[in-house]
Amino acid sequence: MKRAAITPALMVALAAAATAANTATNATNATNASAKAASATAAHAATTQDPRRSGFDPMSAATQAMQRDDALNPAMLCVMDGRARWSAREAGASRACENCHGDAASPVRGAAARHPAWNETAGRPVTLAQRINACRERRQGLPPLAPESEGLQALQAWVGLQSRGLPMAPPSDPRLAPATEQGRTL
Amino acid sequence: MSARMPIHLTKSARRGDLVQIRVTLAHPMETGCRNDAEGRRLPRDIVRRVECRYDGELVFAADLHPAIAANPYLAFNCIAMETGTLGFSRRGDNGFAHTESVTLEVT
Repeated sequence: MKRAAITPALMVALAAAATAANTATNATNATNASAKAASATAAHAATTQDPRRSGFDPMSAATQAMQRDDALNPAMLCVMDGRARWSAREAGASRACENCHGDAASPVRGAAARHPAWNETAGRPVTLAQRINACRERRQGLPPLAPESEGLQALQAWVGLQSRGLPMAPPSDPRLAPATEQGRTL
Repeated sequence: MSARMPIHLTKSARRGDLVQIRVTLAHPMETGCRNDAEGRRLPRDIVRRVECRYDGELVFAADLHPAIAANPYLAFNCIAMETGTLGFSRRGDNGFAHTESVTLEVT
């Protein structure tokens, strides 16, 4: 992945965010676990236009078409890789991802939309990648994957795809405020 | 990334229908013209030849060259004749070889 190190996970994330804009304005599309909260959000979005814009919007028509079509999108190679890693038990691991989280994608549906989130164990905000690595260390007994490494990107892409169509839902945890503020400064 | 060649096509078609077959070849397609961070030339590593056989008969082939981007995408059309196997094979530098096959149902 050396030529496009950041793209696969990012492209899936963008595709998720792009479809999220449609979901937010259409209450009937809300497939969120908490349908009540989702429809409330959708109703809110209908009255006050969501100022957030997906990175998908300013892309060229050709790039958008490519990302809409899973058969064309090279990020799907990364997703397939992530799918394989999800169900395979690595050498030295006590279990595979799916042994805890299940084979179907549903248990991690929405995970990408609500990260970064506060992590009680770590006592700090964690990104989706850090969450995956925490699972590796604590539950699987494996060394963490390097940031931006192929394996971590693949798992992120696979988990990220499970949030496709869901609106981005950053948690309103007050403990995240300092990190949010720091991000704004940066 | 392990060797992958996702193939997309309509799984069933009527006899005489035109079927579009789309395949992505997961491959770095290293040109052989680039250097690494230490200035050493990266050896060429590309897919040279892709072939598709419909029940053993060659229906599509492509010769690939350096300067083709990583993970090449190929799309072509084929007329559905009878239920059969579409076998894809590709080979490249350093003895690389990989095959995949899908079944096309013709009614």
